[in-house]
Amino acid sequence: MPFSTFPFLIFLTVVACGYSLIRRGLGWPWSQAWLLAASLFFYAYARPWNLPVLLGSITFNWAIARAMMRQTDDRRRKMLLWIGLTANITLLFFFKRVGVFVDLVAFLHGPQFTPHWSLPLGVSFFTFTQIMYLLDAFARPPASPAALKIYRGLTRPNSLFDHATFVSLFPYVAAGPLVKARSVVSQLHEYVADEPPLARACRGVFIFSLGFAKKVVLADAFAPIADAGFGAQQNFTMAEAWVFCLAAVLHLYFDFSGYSDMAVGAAWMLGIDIPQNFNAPLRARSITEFWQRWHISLSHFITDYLYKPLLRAMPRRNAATSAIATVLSMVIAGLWHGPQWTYVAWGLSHGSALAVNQVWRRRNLRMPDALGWLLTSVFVISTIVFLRAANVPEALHMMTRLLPHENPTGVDALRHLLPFSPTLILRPVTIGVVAAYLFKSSDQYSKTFELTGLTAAASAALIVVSVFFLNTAPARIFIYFGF
Amino acid sequence: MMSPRRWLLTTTLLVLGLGGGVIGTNVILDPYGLYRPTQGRRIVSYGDSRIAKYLLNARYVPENFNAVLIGSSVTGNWDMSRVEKLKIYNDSLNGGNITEGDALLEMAIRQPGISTVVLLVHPAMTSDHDFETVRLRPDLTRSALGSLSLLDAYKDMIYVRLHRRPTFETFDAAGTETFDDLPTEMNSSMKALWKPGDSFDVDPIALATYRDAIRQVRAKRLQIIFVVPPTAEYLLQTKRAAFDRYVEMIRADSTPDDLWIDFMTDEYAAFRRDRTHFPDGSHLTPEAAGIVVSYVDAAIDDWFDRERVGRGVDRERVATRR
Repeated sequence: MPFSTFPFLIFLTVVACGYSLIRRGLGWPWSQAWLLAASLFFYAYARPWNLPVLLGSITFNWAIARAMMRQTDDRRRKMLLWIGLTANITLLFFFKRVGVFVDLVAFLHGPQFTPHWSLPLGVSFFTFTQIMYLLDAFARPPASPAALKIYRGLTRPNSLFDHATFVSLFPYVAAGPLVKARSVVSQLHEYVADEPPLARACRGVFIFSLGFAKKVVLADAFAPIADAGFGAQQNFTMAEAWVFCLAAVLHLYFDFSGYSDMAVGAAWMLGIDIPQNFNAPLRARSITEFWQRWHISLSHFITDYLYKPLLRAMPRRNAATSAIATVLSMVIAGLWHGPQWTYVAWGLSHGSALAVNQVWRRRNLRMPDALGWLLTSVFVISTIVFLRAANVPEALHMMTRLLPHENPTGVDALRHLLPFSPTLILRPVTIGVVAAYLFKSSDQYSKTFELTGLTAAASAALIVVSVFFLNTAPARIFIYFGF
Repeated sequence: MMSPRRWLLTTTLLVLGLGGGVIGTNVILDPYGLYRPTQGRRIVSYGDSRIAKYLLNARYVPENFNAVLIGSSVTGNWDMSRVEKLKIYNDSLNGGNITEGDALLEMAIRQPGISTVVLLVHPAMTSDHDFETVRLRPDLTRSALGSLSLLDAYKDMIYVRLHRRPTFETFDAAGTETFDDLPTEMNSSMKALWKPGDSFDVDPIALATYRDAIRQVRAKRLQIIFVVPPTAEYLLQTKRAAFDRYVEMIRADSTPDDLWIDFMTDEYAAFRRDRTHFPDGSHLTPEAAGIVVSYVDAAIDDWFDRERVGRGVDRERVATRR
């Protein structure tokens, strides 16, 4: 059930109201049961046959973590961890690869022999969430109370009820943000935020309306432009190639950050705090800053669970090994998107840029902010070709078009390819470019949010406008629902 | 600062008030004839013609016409209201193909009223199977309650009243478009279609949809009229054999009960040779379209006279809708 649909809007209203009433009337076990039932319904709504995969993964990881935390023998604990990690990675690998196998069957035998196949919803996200859970369960909690306060792992195993609710929670099960069990499970049992639940719900409605508009109004306006550019194998001029690549970046940004805002807003409506995933990344002045602002929860995962262990595994820790660990981490993150060389190239390019930036910072070299922003933007926009192109040759072809060549400012192909609808495309595109580069981030808006008539009117206006956009054309599926 | 309860209440009331106000206004104005009887109303199509014609087909067309013409821009300016024996609504879409035509057809024949379907036979109908702007499907009827496409329609309605040029092409109450600016050269799609070669590009999915549409019409026991439109002789000669093969391919799906009106035969050669009829080679001037419609009218008249109508169809319904 994608967030930007009428059924989800009804579902969210019913679940949030029901959760609040049950929590007040019957207490947390019942409210959590309501939430678990709602989340499983949400997950099974479109593809019921995916539910056994989610439930199997939840049960398996819960059992492994529990066994690991009860085990006193370190060697056995390590073995259990490896079994858990291997099973999760195999599951992920299987589902990512089986699509390729199905395509091959279709190619060899014709489409009539092809089974109906689609990647289980959110398989990458709930697998990563549980990999974090296993690794947090593996580390032994420190003995000292002071150290325990800052300890980020698990202090005791969760019940299956808690673990199932934590993993399947509908605001993030489909496409993140990636969250840690420790931060969510306690919130299921008691309300811990520093403001009254209803005030938090208001903030949730506000941030949800922002995300809704980002997705339905802005992202879906950039999508046809990016699709037109990357769908047509043409010799674009330099100007056209930049327009198509920028549209692809803005489509991805508004789509994913819009989804993340809706996820955070929905969780806040339930009184559960989950982290923001984006913080105006297109205003970053370096590639490192970009990754601190883009898909923040994945960046944390890469740093804590890939980069740091890889670096620890290196014989020495210096600039070179740090660079190697960075590149390797980003290549793995690229492969997480799918088993394609384009994703490897994307990870390789971003990893290399991060490594260069690390060296730059180690040497305390400086660059004017404007130049840093420009270089970062150029890099991010040009490397989007690896995420959007069907294969590496197509990506490289598009990349060569970004370079100056004959008639660099020609826009004939752009005029021919672009679907023209002034209300639906051009105005949102203009607003989108301004919003992405000049407006505050959703995180900043949520922090300065106040309960005033103006914010109520803004939320209502965003919801009504988004609904009218949604009523014009069905929203496109969220990009990261496909990973 | 408000209390959270008051903030939520204000937001909810604003959403309901704004949304309800817009929906209420649109139901009262009913620009697509969806919410009250349409008999006798003359509804002009404004805004995105695909959405407008699709929604008009839900109620307005079957309540006021007994036939639809499924076509592309080639037939867009054919004023079918001049046909006497049938009340034909022109469902042609600029740049339209059979996928979109089939969606319009499905909507039009969902309820009783339509007895005859006029199908354009032209390679443009089967050259691709994509929806040009939006996917035409039943839940689009929701957009009549409030949407940006509706806003576009209102805007064009006001523009026309103020004698300003509308953003989108408009169609009269019988679905006929009047080309304000006649194209003097072929558009890119037509150029691609008429590019030199031994055959026309036929999209297999589009062809299957075309055949499905025919099957669907027959299943509802409706009569079919196939129309092969005229193309300028100089253009036709570049791919004459390919065109004939294409027409034969479609003709294989017709039966003796159907009426064929073929403007590519020798009978109409003089008409095709007159370049003034075709500003770009494939589209007709309004005057030439008028001549073609008079030929269509005569053919249908003759068909009725020969009492071909009624064989396997609900003849009484045709007569009463006339």
